Amino acid sequence: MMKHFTITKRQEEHIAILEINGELDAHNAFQLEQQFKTLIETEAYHIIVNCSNLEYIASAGLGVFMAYIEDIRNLGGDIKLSNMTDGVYHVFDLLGFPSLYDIHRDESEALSSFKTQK
Amino acid sequence: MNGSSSNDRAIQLGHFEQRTLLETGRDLIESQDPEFILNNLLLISLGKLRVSSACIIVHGPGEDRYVISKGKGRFSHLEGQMLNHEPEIGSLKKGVYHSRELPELFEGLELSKDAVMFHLRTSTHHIGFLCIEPTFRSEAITTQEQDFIENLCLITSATLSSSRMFEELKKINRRLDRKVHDLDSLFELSKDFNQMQSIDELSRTMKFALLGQLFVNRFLFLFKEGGQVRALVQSGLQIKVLEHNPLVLFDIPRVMAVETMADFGVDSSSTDELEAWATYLTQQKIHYVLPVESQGETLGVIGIGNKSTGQALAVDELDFVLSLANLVVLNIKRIQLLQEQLLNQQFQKELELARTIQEGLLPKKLPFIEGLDIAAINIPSKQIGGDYFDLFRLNDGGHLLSIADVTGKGVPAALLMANLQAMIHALTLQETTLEAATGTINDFIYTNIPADKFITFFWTKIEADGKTLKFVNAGHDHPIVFRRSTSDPMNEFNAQVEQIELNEGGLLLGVLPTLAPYTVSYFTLEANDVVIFYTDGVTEAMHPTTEEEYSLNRLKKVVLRHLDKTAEEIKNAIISEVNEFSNHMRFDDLTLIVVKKE
Repeated sequence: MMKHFTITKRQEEHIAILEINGELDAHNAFQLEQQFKTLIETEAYHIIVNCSNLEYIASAGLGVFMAYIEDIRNLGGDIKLSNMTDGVYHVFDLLGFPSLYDIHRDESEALSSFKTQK
Repeated sequence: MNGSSSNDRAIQLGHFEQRTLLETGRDLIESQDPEFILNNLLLISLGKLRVSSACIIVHGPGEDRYVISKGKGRFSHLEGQMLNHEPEIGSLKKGVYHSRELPELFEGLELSKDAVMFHLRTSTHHIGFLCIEPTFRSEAITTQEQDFIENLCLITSATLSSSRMFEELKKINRRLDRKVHDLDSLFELSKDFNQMQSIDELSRTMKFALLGQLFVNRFLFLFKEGGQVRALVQSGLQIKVLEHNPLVLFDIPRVMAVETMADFGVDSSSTDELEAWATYLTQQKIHYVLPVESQGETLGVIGIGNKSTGQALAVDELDFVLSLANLVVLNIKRIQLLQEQLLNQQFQKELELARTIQEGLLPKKLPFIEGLDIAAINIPSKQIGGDYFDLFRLNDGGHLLSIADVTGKGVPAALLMANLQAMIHALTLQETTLEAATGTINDFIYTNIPADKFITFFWTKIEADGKTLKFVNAGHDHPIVFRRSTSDPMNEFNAQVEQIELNEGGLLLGVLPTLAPYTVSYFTLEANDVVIFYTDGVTEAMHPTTEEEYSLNRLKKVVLRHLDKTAEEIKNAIISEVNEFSNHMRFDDLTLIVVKKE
């Protein structure tokens, strides 16, 4: 059975914000992949993924983040993560993502981090 | 946020890995989609190893190359590309490979020296490799990480090989589906064909079936009938198909490519002709020839090209074409049989009509003539010839007896006979002589019938005295008078009976215009004279096995044997002997009149 997973997209100035909701696993990972591909095609390289409603993330979901981060950074942008619940952060942390990814407590922090970089 | 001790952390990580393997196992079991399976393997590996580029290469069985099936990061643009390398599959025993071990593949994928290839395999099959490019991370891949990915690769490989099998099954199923579909359409078509009444309709339907079912727009269907070949269906070809001798194509023993068919020439000239055909058909982009047999004989030949997409026809599709053509040939034969039957029915109707005409023309009842014993019979053959006889009373107390045989059979002969009958009756009402009337009839017939038709005709006026015959014989079988001779009773039997032929008159009717007038002759009957008037249906009746004719000789003998009997008895004796001789087979009308002078 397909688990519940949705993505909502917003724009804050030049920064694209993806809110991912529900459970991100092997079956719906392609949805997030598709979003990243579209953003790269439209040259929106500054991306925040707001994880406030992300209930669960499987390994395949983590893989999606890895698959695009290098491309986007090479293009002068970044993917920043924000608003993770403790459970979700625990998984990211377990796998060592904090050393590779810019992970923020909340969205505004992530936004300002983009702005100061700029 | 991270308050755990390093020991706790290791345990938790172990739990997470187990969970991932379990979930992956479940996902894999649920999915039969190789695309999903490969993607999942890549994403989990990327996530777990914290690298951003990886790809999966799959070995094509029986081929010396790999295809990059799926790629992430810098490999994502290489999906679908080929990598030429023939692996020594037997020596690939390890789960993990590094750059120095498979240098060709590492170079082909431009992998760094730190890259790792995980072997995708089952216990029996080499599937390919998961290639990890760890450029994004700084530290080397740990043994624990490597073990995890190896495990992941193992369960993925198992599913992958079963899903490849599944794909294979799907392909076979698709083929079966296609077969069922083909059979369904053949069944439908055969029902349609059965309803069709014309060969044109059949040909048209065949054309659309080939276009619609196989998307083939170049084809040719030749049909042989009585040594003649017709192009029944033709599509996409330049005309003048039958420029070469088409009969050689009917010697081709089986379905074959056009290029090879010249090998099947039975002699050098047919080989040449087949070569000419091969050149022509190749020009016309016809690639296959298929002989269509019915009851062991090749009745049709199909030439067929590629699909409009350029694809060549598969074996299954050629089978379909052949089955279709078989149906068409069968139905052509059915229609032809039907047409023959219709024609036959038509013919039977015509014959009925001819018989009715003929019956109407013959006298229903013979007139009574004082001093003459008369018997007559007309037996029409199945096909109706043109025999005619008549006997009726004239105004002066005399009678007119006519017998004729019109050439030909059926309605034309019956109509011509009707004309003759009408003229005979019309002319007798006029003040004219028998010989002049014969000339008039001849001229009329001559101008009104085709050159190959004619009438043999004999008529005689029996004068009112019942013994004087005035006659004209226009080419008819000579009537014979049998007269018992009293002058020389000591002679043998044959010599005792005189046979006088009534032969004078002129040419048969309808051959030439009346240049010389017909002559009239006289004959006077004596007591006990027997006169036999007949048509060739009597003398040419055929013996069923020896094909011998009954003959004038046999006729004379039977008459002689029954000379003392009544006209009716003589007639019956002749008919029964003729019937016995011919075993009742009759190919021509038979007419017989016996007149006996009392």
